[in-house]
Amino acid sequence: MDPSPLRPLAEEVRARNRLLATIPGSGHHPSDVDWRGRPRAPQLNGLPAAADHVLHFHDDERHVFIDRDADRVLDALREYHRQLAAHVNDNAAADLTGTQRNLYKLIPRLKVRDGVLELPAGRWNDYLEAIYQMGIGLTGVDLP
Amino acid sequence: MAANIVDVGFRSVALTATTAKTVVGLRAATNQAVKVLEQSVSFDGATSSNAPAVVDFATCTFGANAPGTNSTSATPTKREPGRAETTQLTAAHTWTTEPTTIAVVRPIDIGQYNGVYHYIHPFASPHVVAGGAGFVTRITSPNNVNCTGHLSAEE
Repeated sequence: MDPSPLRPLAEEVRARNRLLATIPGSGHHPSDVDWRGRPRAPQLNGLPAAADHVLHFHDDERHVFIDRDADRVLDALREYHRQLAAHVNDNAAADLTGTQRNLYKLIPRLKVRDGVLELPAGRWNDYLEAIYQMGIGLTGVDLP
Repeated sequence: MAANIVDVGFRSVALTATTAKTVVGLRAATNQAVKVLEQSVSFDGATSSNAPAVVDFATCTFGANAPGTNSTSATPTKREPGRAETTQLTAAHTWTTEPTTIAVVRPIDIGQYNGVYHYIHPFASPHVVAGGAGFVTRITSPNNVNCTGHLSAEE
C-alpha cells in the first residue's frame, strides 16, 4: 500500500504525543499523580513515553506501520526472533509457548515494502506480545 | 467454543471523580464470536465514607475507538500458553476517549473502600459477543480512585 496518505495523519498524532508530557493533567506530565500520590506518567512507570511510541494504523484486516516506525518494529521483531533462536539452539524448543513457536516461523517472512510493514489482524496478538516484550510503546490510529 | 481462554487485565487505572471511563474492553474478530466468561473489578480507596463507584458491564459496537485507538492495546494472556492458535479478539485498557456505542448489560455499585467484585458467568447464562462486537467495563466513581481487574473470554 502507498503510505503517503497516512503521513500527514502520522505527523499530527506524533505532534500530539510529543505534547502530552508537557500538559499537566494529561496523565503523561511528570507531576501527574493518582489519588495516592503515585506518578501516572508512563515514562515514570517503566513504560515508554508517548513521544517515543510507534504508530500502528489498523482496521479489521491489518495493522500497518510506516516509514521509520516500520523499520523500528521490524528490527525489534528480528531481535526477538534472534532471542528465540538462541533458545531453540539450546534444544529448549519444547519450552517455547505456542505464541513463540508461531513467531519463530512468522518473523523471518516479514519485510518492509515501500516503507510499509503490514501485519495481518489474524496474527496481531502474537506480534503485539513480541513488540511489547521488546519495549516498544504503541499508539493506534484508525486506518482511513 | 474451543476453550481457547484468555484473560485481559488492567492494573491501577486512575479514575477521575464523576467522569465515566472505560477501563478494559475486548472486541471479537469479524468472523469469530467470543464468549465472555468472567469480569472483575476492585478499588484501592481508603476512605470508608466515600460513596460506591458505579460499574457498568456493557456491550459496545466499537463504532469509534476500537481497542488500540485512544486506548492502550493489551495482549490477551492465554490460559494455556502451549496452544499455538493466535487469539483473534483484540483487547485494550484505559481508554482516553470513550468508545461508542455502549449499551449497559449489568450495572452495579461497588464500594471504593476495599471494594471487590468478581462475576463468573454460569453455564446456563453465557454472554456471547458476536463477531465484530465488543464487551467493556466502564466505571464512574464519585471520587478519584484507582481500579484493577480483568475480563476473561473464550474463542
